Amino acid sequence: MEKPQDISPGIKTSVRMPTEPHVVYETKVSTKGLDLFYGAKQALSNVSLDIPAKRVTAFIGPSGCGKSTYLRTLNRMNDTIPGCKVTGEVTVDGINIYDPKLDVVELRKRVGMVFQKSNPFPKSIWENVAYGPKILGEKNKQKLNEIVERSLRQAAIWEETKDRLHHSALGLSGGQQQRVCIARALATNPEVLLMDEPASALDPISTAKIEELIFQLKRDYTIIIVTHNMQQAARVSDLTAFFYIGELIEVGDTRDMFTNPKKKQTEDYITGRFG
Amino acid sequence: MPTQSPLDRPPLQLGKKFRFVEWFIESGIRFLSFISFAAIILIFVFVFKEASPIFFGKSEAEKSAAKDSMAMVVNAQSSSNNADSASGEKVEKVIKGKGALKGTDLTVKKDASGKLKTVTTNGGKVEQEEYDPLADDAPAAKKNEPAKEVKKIEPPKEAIKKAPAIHVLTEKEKKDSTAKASAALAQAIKDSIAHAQADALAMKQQKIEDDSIKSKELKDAEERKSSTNFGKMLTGGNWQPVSTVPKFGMLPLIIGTLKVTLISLLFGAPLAILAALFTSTFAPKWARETIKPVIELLAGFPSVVIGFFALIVMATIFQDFFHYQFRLNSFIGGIAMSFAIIPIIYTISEDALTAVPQPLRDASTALGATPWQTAFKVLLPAAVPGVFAAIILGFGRAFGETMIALMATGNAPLTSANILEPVRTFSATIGAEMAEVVFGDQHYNVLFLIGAMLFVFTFSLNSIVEFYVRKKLIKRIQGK
Amino acid sequence: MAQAVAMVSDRAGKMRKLYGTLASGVSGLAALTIVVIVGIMVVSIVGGGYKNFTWEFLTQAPEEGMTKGGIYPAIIGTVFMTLLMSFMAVPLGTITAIYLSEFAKPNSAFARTIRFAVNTLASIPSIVFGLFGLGFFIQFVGKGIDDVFSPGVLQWGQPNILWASMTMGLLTLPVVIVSVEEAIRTVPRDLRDASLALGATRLQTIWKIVIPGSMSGILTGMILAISRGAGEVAPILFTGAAFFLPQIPHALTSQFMHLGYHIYVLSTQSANVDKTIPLQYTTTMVLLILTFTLNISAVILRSRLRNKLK
Repeated sequence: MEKPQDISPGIKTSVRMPTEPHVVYETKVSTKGLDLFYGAKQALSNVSLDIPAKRVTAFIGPSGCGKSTYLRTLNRMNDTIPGCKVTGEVTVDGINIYDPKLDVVELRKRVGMVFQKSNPFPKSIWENVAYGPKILGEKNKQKLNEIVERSLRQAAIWEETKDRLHHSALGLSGGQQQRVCIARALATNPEVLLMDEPASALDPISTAKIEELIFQLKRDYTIIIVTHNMQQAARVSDLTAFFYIGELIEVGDTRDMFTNPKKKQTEDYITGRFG
Repeated sequence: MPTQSPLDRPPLQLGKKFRFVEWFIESGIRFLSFISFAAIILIFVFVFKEASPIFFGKSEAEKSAAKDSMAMVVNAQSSSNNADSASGEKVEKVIKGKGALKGTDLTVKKDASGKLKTVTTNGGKVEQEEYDPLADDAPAAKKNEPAKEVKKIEPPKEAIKKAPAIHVLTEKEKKDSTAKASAALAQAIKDSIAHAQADALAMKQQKIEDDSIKSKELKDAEERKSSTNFGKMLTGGNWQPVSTVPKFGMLPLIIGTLKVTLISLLFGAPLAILAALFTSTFAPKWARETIKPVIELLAGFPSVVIGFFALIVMATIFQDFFHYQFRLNSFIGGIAMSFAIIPIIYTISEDALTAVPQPLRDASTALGATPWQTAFKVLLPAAVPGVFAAIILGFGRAFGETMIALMATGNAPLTSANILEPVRTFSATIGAEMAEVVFGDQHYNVLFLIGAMLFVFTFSLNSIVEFYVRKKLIKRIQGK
Repeated sequence: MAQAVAMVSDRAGKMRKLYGTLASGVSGLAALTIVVIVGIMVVSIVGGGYKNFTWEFLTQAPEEGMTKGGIYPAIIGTVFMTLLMSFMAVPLGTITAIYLSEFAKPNSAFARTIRFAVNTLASIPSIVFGLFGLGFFIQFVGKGIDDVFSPGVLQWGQPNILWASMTMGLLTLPVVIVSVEEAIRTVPRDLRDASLALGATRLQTIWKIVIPGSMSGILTGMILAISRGAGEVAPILFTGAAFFLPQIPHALTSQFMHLGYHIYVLSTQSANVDKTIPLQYTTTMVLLILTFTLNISAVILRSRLRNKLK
């Protein structure tokens, strides 16, 4: 069990798990009154949520409910979509990331992302994993080798790839590719790791490996995962947030929420009446 | 701090980093991409700038016109005051210079007028009419007989100047006139006959317009002035930029360009659209995979190669087959031009036809429609704006194509509806005459004016396609 | 009754079949006509030209008033001109394509203007480019340089290979832009997102992911531009092509011979058109071989690119 951590001065809110009311977690990411528009269409309305550090938070909900969109606001990947407008407050470590003075590149160095579809660069495995550190300015080949090995080990794919580091990453299987992508995201040493349905395109064995991996990673990283697989959310997450049509309906301790949902819509979704 | 690795970093802070290299390169890219836009503006500005004296710099043109007419008066006076021998000598020289030519051309002309009664009903009279006013052109014409003779030679000389290709042929003819006539020579003679006739036709038209009673000098000055009037230029029936009184009537050029363009469209567009329909609907896979590369190959044909093919191969075959009079004419030019526009029309139509969404086709097929019913009732209506765009762009291409027009249309500025007569297009006029003009000259400005007109015309066509057709196409396909 | 209905539908079916055959027959015939035309053109040009297609022809200068000898200066002139042209058109076109697809917001006025300008540039008649080259490069820039650096001496203010190449570069700019943009679009969005999410800047993403991913498209654009530049004659008619010049161009201010212009000159402007007809055929054949080789390699590259996209 982890000890309650000190709340650093910049942090205004904290999270208490209903099942562990005595534990106060450090809030890593926090949103207040977030609205998001694609052109005239509102995709998220009034989302307020605190996400604890070094825990796994899962977003669930039917497809099109805005959970992936919300995830992408957390490292400002929505900036690349034309016509996308965000209002409200999103803070990481107490810093508003939509502040015009914020350097988005600095943010993304700290908030990494793994995408739904595995998307390794058409380069060697080594090049893929070393891409981030190189971009950040690491030139020492020895250091890079260390980082690559560490990241691949963390992503539980070192054993499978150590003999073919300089082969193309596109030659790997889907599950392996996805783990290389996770290793690539880990290589820049992020604080938060966003995962957008990382196992949705994978077979059960690869999925199990990824879930195992997530469980390992939460010791060092704040993990936020989007999934529409409720069993997966139940297996890997500490905290679950349920989204429905652009709104955050309910958030709470995962076991609590799956056994005793407070809202009707959550219950309907969890028991499989829709979605 | 211990060894600073880029990966050990302080917590997130506000404050934008200024990355100079990044900023510099991004502005560079922004600036450079502006160039293609600037090029359009520059092209318009500079083509139009060289043409502008026609509209704004009238005083200069008038000045030069006045100067010239003065010179002419002086010339006329001197020639009438001096003994006949002086002007006679001068004339002799000219006659000597072009002596051989004169012989040939005059006989040729007679031959031609004798032969071709269909074109000019009373050949003899035409000739008469033709030469009388021309004789007036010479300053001392009414007084000396020799001068009259010189002027008789003038029209062929001018025709030759205007049609360099023919010049070569007649010169060759001149050289070899003593030798036995070979097949090639016969061809050359045929061509020069054709051109002499073409010229005769042009002359005739000119004469009809020129029955003014004003004195020669005044008329010249007046014409010079008015030849730079844009409105008159557009409607003028004579294009004679290098005669003593330059005439910049663009009517023959307009008609020539339209003739060639329309023939190429009438021949090329149906072929290309049907072929596009074939490859997008009916064709088996192997046929599609032969036809498409072949048309891409055709798109890669340099226009000078098509022009060469039309000039050397096609013109001869067609003439041997159909037995018409002028070897190079608007028909040959138009057909050759269609080879250049077929790939354009084909590609755009094919894109439009294949852009019809597959579900739409499937729906039609599922309702029991045969492939051709699907093609005519679903594909073609949906693709109409695209096909229309294809035709417009093909039209634009044919309108501005230079080398084919220069090589295969015969290059005589005639005003005639007959497609088997030689024509001169706008672009060919620029291509043929620009090399010989003096910079800043009136003629030079007029050629730039033609260029500006070509630019404005293709620009408008492209705008139509861009803003109207494409919008419509998107609307139809996406149902917005 | 039933029989009648069957008969009617049978007849309708027959008619339908007939129309179908007719439609596919007519359109197939149109396609066949085009193929036959291309075939005739290739066969007649190669048939007329293969006899003179010798090593000497390719490596000698024209002799005796261009009635004998080879086309060496024309080949070299064409190569020099197209290389000089691609030095200008390829980087500029690639940069514009990158701007259009990576920087510009797709619906911003600036991007739309540039896109429209590129389309217009592609549809302007080539002879107008020639006029522009004459009016801008020679009369304005060239004369300007002469007036400033060497008053009274005509050095830059006359047709030369540099102005011809720049004119041609402008003409081929849209070709490069369109094919590079097409190639850039084949680089999946995922890869860009992945790179950005790792903390790469936009420029780093372009340099390390987008450009390597669209290399084949840049190459295709370059090849197509060269092929277009090698074949076009109208823009260089009065911006630098020389009628006859036995030596190869030695400076940016020298004029040059060009294969296409050479064909034009031999077939319409020379003193002995009939004598040189075999030479004309062979020159045309050389030009065709040159442009075909370039085009075919571009087609192969491009189809590879499209397969990659699928």
